[in-house]
Amino acid sequence: MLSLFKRIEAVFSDIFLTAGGMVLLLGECIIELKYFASNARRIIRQMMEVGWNTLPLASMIGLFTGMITSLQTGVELKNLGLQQQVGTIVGLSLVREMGPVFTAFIVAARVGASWAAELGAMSVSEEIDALRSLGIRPVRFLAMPRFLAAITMQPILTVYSIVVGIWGGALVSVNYLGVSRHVYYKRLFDSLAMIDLRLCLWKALVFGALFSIVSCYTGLTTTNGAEGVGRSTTRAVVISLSLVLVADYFITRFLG
Amino acid sequence: MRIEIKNLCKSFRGNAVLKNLNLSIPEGKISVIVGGSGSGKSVLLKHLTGLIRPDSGQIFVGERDITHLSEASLYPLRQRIAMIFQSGGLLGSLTVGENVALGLIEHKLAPRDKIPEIVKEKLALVKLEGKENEMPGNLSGGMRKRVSIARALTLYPELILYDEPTAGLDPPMSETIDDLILKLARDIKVTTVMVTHDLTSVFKLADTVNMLHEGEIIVSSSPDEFKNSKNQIVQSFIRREYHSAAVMIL
Repeated sequence: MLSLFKRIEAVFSDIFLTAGGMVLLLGECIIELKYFASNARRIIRQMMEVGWNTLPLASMIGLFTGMITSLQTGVELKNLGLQQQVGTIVGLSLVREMGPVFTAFIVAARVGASWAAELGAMSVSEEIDALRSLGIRPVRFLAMPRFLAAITMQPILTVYSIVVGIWGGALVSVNYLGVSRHVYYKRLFDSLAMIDLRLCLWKALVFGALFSIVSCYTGLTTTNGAEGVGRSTTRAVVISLSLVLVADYFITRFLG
Repeated sequence: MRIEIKNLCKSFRGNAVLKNLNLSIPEGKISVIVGGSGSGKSVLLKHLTGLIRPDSGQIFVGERDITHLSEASLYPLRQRIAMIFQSGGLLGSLTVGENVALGLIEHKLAPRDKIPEIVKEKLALVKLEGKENEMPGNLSGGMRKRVSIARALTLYPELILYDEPTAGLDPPMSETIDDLILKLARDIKVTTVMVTHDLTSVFKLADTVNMLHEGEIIVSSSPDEFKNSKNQIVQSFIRREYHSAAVMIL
C-alpha cells in the first residue's frame, strides 16, 4: 500500500517537475529571442528543417486529407443531392481542425523526435556540459533557434498543407463527384470567415511552440546513455501529440 | 587562480558521493586528484565550474564564492575556466575548426577574419595542423582530446580542469597528452587540476597529489610523499590492489 502511494507520488512529482521545467524553458526561450540576430545561421538551419525538409510529407498528408474528406463527405452529400456543399465541408474542416492538427502531428513526429534524439545524444555525450563549461548557454545556442524556427515555420507549413488539401479535395469533387470547380471554390471561400483563418494560425503557432519546447526539454534532460535517448525521443512524441490535442480543444473552446 | 573547497557534501538519490570534503588547489600548479572508479572524482571536478551544485559546503574559485551563484552569473566565470571532458565534449555536428572557434565566435573574442588564423595556431599547438575540416567522429580518442584542449586554449583560461585525460589511450598517446598538459602548465602558468587513476601521469605531472576515498580527501601531498606514504589505502592504490566502495558493490 505504501509502495503504491509512493509510486503515485513519484508519478505526480515527475509530471509537475516536467511541466515546471517546460514552462521555465519556454520563458528562457522567449527571453533569449532578443539574441536571434547572432544566432541567425542556426535559426535558418532549423527553419529549413521544420519547413523545407517537411514539405514533401506535408504535401502528401495535406493532399490525401483533402481527397479523403472530399470523398467521404461527398458520397454522402451526393445521396442527399447536396454534393455542391462539399467545398464548404472540406474548407471548414481543413482550416479549422485537420490542417493545423495533422501538420502539427507530422512535424512533431518528424522534427520533434529528431530534435529530442539529437539533444539527448548531446546530453549523454557531455556536449551540453561542454557548451556550459565554455560559457555558452545551451538554451540560446540550441533551444531558442529551434523554438523560433517552429513558431515561424509551423503556421507557414500549415497554410501550405491546407492549400494542398483544398486542391486535393477539388480533384475528387470535380473528377469523381461531378461538382464544378467554380462551385467547389465558391462554396469553400464563402463558408470561410476571417476568424477561421485567425484561429488556424493561432493553433499552428501554439502547436509549434508546444512541440519545440517539449522536444528540447526532453532532449536536454536526457540521462542514462543510449537507452535514455530512445526513451526521451518516445516521450517527446507522446507528450507533444497529447498536448497538441489538449491545446486544440481549449483554443477552439475559448478563441473559436 | 586558486581554489578552496570547504566541507563539500553531495549525494545522488541518498547515496553520499562527497562527504565534508576539504581541498586547496594552489595557483599555477598541477594538482592531481586520484581515486578509484566511481569514487566521485569527476563529480568533484564538475563542482568547480558549477556544472554540479553541492548539497552543502563552500567552493571558492579565485576570491569568489561560487557555491550559490546563479547559472547566469556562472557563465562569465566559466569563460576563465576550461574543462577537458573524458570524451572530449566536441560537438559532433561541427567540424574540428568550428569546434575550436566556438568560444571565440560565441563570445565575440576575435574579429571574424582573424578566427581561422587563431584556430590554425591553436591546432598547431596540439600538433593537429590541417585537421580543421575533419569531423570529430573521424578522429581518434587522443586527437579528440587534443582538439578539446585547443578549443579550451582559445579562451585563455586561468584554470584548466582535465577529467581523465589519458583514459582509454595507448601509452604513446598518453605520453603526448601528458607532455601537452605539462607544457601548458609550465609555459602559460595556468592552474591545472587533473582527475586520473593513471599513476604514470600522476608521478610525471603532479605538483600535489590528492587522494579521494569514500567521499573525502585522505591524503594531500607531493608525489614523493605520496609514493612513500604509510597510508594503507594509498599503498594499495599504488600497488593497484585498491577497490573503491563503488567497485566493491559491483
